[in-house]
Amino acid sequence: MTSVGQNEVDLYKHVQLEPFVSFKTLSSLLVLFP
Amino acid sequence: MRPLLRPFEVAADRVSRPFRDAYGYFAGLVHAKSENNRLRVENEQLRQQASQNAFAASENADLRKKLGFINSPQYPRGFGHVTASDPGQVPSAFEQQVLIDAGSSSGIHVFDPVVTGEGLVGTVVRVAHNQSLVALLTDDTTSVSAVDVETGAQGSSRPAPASIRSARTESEKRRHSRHGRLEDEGRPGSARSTRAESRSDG
Repeated sequence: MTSVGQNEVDLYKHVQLEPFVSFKTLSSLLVLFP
Repeated sequence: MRPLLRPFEVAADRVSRPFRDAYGYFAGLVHAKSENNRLRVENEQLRQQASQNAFAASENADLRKKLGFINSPQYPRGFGHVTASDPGQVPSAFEQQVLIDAGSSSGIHVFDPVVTGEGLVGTVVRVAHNQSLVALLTDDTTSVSAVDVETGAQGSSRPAPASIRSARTESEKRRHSRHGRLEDEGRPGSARSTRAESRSDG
C-alpha cells in the first residue's frame, strides 16, 4: 500500500497499491475457469 | 614523535584485542538470546494461530455439511486452468491488452481471471476459438473487485490515472539514476500502480 486518502465529499476511500506482479515481464499466463 | 609511540600503540592494541573480542562475543550472545526469546514467543503465537485456523476450518466444513451448503468454486480447488506462454510485449501505453494462444476450445470464457505466479494480472475480455484477448489490470477499461482481508471492506481496483503513473515512472527513473543503476526505459507496460476504491467504514 503506497497511499490512502479520502475527500470529505467522496463516497469512497482511495487506496493506492503497488502490485506484486511485474507487468514488464509477463512470461507465462494462467487462465482460470470454474 | 609518532614513530616513537608506534610500538606502544601496537602493544596496547594487542593487549586490548582479546578484551574487545570477548566483549563482542558476549554482546553477540546477549543479542542472540534476546532474539531467541522473541522468536520463541512468535513461534508459540503462530502455533496457536495455526491450531485455531485448523479448528475453524474443520468446524466450517462440518457446519457446511450440516446445512447442505452448495459451494461456489473456490480458488484454487474449484478452478481448472490453461497455461498460455509468452504473450509478448504489451502493444501500447493506451491499450494494455495481450493476445494469448488459447481460446474457447480450451474452455476459456469472457471474464475468466488471468494470473501468474505473482498474482492476478487481468481478465479475459474477448474469446475466439483458439485465441483470447486479456486486458491487464493496467488497462484503463479494467476494473476488478477487491476485498480487504483484515476489515472485510469491499471495493474495486482499477489502474491509477496516467498522470500518477507517469509521475511514479519519473520518480523511479530519478531514484535509479541516483543509485547509478540502469535507467528505466519507460516503455509501455511499465505502469506499476493500481488504485483501489473501498467503502469507508466511517
